[in-house]
Amino acid sequence: MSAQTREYGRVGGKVRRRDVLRWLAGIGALGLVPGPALARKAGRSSGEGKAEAGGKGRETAAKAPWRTGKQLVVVLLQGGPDGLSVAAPVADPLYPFLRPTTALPADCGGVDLGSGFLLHPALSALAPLFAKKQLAVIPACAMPGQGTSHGPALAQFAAGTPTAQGKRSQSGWLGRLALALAGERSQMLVACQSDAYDGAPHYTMIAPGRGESLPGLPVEDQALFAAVGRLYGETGGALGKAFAAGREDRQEVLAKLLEESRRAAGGAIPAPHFAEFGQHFGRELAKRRDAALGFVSVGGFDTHSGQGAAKGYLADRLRETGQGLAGMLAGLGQAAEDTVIVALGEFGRSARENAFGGTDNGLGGVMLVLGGPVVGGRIYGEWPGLAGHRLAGGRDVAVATDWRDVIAPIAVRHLGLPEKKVGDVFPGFAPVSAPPGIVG
Amino acid sequence: MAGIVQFHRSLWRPLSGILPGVLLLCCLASVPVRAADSRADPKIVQAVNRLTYGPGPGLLGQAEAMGLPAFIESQLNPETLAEPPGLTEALAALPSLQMDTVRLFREYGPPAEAGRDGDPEAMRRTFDRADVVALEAAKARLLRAIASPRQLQELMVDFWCEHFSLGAKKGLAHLWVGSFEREAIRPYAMGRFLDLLAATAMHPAMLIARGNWKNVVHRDGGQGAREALEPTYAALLLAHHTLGPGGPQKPADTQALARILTGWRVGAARADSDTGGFYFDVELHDPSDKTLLGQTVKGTGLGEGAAALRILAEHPATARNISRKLAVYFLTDDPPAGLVASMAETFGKTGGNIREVLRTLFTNDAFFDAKYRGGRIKSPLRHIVSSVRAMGQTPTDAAALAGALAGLGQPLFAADGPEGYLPGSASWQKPEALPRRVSFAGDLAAGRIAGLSPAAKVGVQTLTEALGPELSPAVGQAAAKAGDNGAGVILASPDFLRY
Repeated sequence: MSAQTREYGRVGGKVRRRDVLRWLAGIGALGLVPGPALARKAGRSSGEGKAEAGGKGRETAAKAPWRTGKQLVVVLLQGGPDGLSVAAPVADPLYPFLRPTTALPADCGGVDLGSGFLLHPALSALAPLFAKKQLAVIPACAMPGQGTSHGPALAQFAAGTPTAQGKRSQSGWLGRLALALAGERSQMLVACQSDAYDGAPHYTMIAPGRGESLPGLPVEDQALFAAVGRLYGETGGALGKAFAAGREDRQEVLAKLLEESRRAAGGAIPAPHFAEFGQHFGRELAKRRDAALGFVSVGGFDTHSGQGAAKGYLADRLRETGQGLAGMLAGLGQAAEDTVIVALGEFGRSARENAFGGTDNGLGGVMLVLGGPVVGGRIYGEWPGLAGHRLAGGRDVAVATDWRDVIAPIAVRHLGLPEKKVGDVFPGFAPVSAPPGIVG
Repeated sequence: MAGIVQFHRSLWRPLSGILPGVLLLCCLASVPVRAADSRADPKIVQAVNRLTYGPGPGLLGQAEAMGLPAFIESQLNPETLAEPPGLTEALAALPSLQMDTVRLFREYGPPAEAGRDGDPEAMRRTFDRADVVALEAAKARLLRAIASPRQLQELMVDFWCEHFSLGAKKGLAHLWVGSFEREAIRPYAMGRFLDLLAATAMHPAMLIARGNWKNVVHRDGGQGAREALEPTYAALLLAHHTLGPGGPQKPADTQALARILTGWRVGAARADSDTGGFYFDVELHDPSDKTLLGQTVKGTGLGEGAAALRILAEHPATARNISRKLAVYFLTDDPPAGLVASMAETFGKTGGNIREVLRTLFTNDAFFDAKYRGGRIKSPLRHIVSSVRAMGQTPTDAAALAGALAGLGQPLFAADGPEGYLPGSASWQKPEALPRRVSFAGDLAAGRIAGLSPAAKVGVQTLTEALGPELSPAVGQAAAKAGDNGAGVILASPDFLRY
């Protein structure tokens, strides 16, 4: 085994679920509330915190549990960003095998995230946050049991449960969270339409306004295909015919993929526009400390073709996203100390690149968590690996971390959501309660 | 047990014993390089195209300077061709390549505590490592195919690895794809067919992949046997590895062969005849006499296997089957009957000497018939390797190339079935596959495949010189007009796709 492989295997083993728990406990420690343990059982002993002023024994709080001034912003990266490019497992020997043209080289200039991962160099706007330990990266993230079609997956994300098979549910998880936090008094700042905050009593929408639009996905080298196509035409015969037929089919498939990626960005702010809008949204958030929650969606991550590696289409979208996220914290100013931003997609992308130099819709994606209260500067969660038998369905990065396992403790420790209400926000969801060391 | 030991030694007879008397002293590298031009001898072009993965810069000129017979002899005697130090270094950087089957199992196999009821996560980690070891084997194969001057030997390794394909991943057989190639295929690729057959039959990778290790007859004190015959491998051995699908075998022969091969197990050595992870368990062997293809095989334990493999290797149907398959691989999907017959005759006369069968093929006039030139479609493997060779490059890391090969539908060591990738070219002309080749050529030329410099930098001139008369003027003009895309146009052209 090469030194690299050994290194990968060694550190890979370190990234365990207990680290997520430790880290989530850290968020609580930074806040005002003496953090109750995440597990429901443990919660009994430590009380629910002073922000929940109803007092012990009274189930219905007279006063809203929301810790005023604390904020959570959800940035939905619509289309399914490629986790293997955002946090590239450059120490995994199978990574370049699965990604002949889209793997990030180890020496591409990205920030070392530890545990064998590299942050995409185009996300350099976030590098200082990582250094300041205000950015945490969680690979192999999604909601277990969800699908990989955009429509149903967006509905499942909005519902906060994988059972909403493409149906519009009565309310979204952000809407239910708003209700659970402050009821009629709660506010929310949103910039895009989404079913995720359906059911919220109040929300203010900031129109993103007009800005740069999303460039279309790059298609394969048409000049090359035209020149070669003429040669196969002149050749004729079975070979010429086979080429012509194959080319026609391929273009049809490509047209469908391009149309899908255009639709997948629908309703979201185009990533090129988000680069600037993020800061504006942050300034508005700083002014509206009566809003516990924020929501923005950013489009352009359905990279079915011409994805690129250290440079290219996806690199450009990531640069804009990184600028938008860093800008949001900058716009928040001092309030960034009280704000947690989570960025995630409705899913991730296939482990192996496809025949168009892109990736297909897949399961395990990536989640970025940033802001003052975050105990970052490292990778969190388990890493399932890229060996064939590890991939979900033999093709996708397996889901190692349920994003609700990240959101729920943020809602509890950072925003003040009573732990018993987690089930109201995410119906049918049981947070991880495994004591450290039991999962390995 | 003396008989068994003797059997074992005869199987591992050193390759040097069957080398032809004349060793060529001429070395390719010492021949002055000159660009091939359109006047190049078409026979030279045919020989270079068929005996190698395709010309790199200067190879056509070198072959022409050597002359056709000398070029063919040099390829038939790979021992005379020195491998470049760069290749040796690149291979040395792949640690699992230095390990034999047993050591691979010790280093990468399941930990002792992960038995049948052991830790499933430990088993998963074992398979993780097996994936990495298999990737190293694929990298090594590609590096050698690209950079070794022993091109015919590399083609024969490819040929036999598919002929004796382990098929899709099965258990720890996947961990051993590389050691199977190194121990069972490579030493005998141009040697005696019986040695090759025996080495593949006894290798743990084959025993596991084809389930022959489960082929046992439980004997209780010499009486009352409980049968658990597993004839899958025996059937494959007859219908594919030796006699061929149209051979004279009957169902009873498969059953007899399965019985002959009972007790062939995988594990630690217990006797002199056990080696490399193979061991013969006499308690699980059916000791009765058997009849295979009309011949009696006396119940002698492991010696029965030697007798059976010899019967199969020396059978005329095997000579025809292997000869025809070689002619398909090297010449055309439908080789002339006369050519196959003379190859089969050599096979019979020389005791299955593969090198002599190849010599018969490469010196036959039919091999140079103009109608066969450019009549084949390159497999993805040959397309990728010939592209990189034409660029005159050696990759620093072949992982991305191995991945691209998988993307083009021919992952190494991972054919779906036990017959491997077929030697003919018909299967590589599917409509959906051709534009993928174009796309790959564009990626390669533009430097989007990791581990290689862009072909665009290598340039149209280099490629044109390396490929010489293989390229039609139309391709040259299209490449010249395409500017930065020129190299991609050449590597994606129909002329380059054919050979």
